[in-house]
Amino acid sequence: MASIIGVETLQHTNGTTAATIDTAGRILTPTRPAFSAYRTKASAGADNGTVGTIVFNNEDHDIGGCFNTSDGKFTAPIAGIYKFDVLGFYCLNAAGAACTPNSYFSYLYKNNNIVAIHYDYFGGSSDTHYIPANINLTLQLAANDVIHYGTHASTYYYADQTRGYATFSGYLVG
Amino acid sequence: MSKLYVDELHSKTTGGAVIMPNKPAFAVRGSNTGWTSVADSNEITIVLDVANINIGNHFNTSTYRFTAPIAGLYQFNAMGYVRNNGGTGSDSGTYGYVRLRKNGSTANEVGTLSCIFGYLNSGDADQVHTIAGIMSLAVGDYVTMHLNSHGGGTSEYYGVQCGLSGYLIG
Repeated sequence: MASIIGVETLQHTNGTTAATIDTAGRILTPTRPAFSAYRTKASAGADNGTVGTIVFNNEDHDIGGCFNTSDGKFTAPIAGIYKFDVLGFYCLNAAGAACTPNSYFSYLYKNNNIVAIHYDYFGGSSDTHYIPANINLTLQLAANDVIHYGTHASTYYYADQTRGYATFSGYLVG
Repeated sequence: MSKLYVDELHSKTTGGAVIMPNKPAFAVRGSNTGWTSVADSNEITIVLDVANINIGNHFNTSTYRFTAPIAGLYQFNAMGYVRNNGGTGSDSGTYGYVRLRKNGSTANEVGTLSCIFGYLNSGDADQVHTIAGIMSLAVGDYVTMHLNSHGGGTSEYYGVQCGLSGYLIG
């Protein structure tokens, strides 16, 4: 027979609430480390494209304060399995023009080492378009491992005054 | 209120996996075996009228909305099968967005997760684009999937090839 306990709150012995269970049996984990950040630029036009480390400079939420909007880096507060999603697109240059035929790269880094690559090549002499650049990855991290996203030195990543074009999110799976 | 103080939870059964049978979760898709078009500078809600998973019945297959039953963080994954200008010739500057919106908001794209496509100058192709991300939702907040067109032409999605899934993280 399965063992059953009826309970509404799970707490650590120090009194910190880890999980709540409502009348519908739904479980919330209010201290689970999680963040969702997005990148915007202060002005339109001249500097929409960025190379190198992408700083997602705004947050929707940052439970546990593990994401830094100044440098775009997430620091794991506890060892475990984490899921990360990067959503955005490449452009041709700092002015944010559409890409011309070439190779485009970006990377997800763990402690400044590449753990995932997004690569796109397209030909066609007259083609121009913006290239979606998404990375979705689950990683096993130790406490204080640092995760960030960046492009190759010749690949520009787009952002402007409008939010929603460039987002980076992640959370502790368990 | 009953509280349980523990340092570890262990499954009684082998393997240690923990199942949460009431976690709000859904996976839906469209049923239309054809293209649906949106005009330049317009946006439509993508029809997702078949639910493969709908724990708690929080996705409405008539309004195509997921409505949060409880405040928390939710993970969403979407796939859009799209093209521009009827899939023939050049996009000629036409481009579109597949978007997830929170409460339908277009004000500075609050809560939006977007994916751009199109702008091809030579030839054209059907394209698959994906969105993944987290939203923080209050009770009653709703999430919808949209197709948005820009640049002078039309954009289209193929219903049965579009899907959206999501679940409560906690």
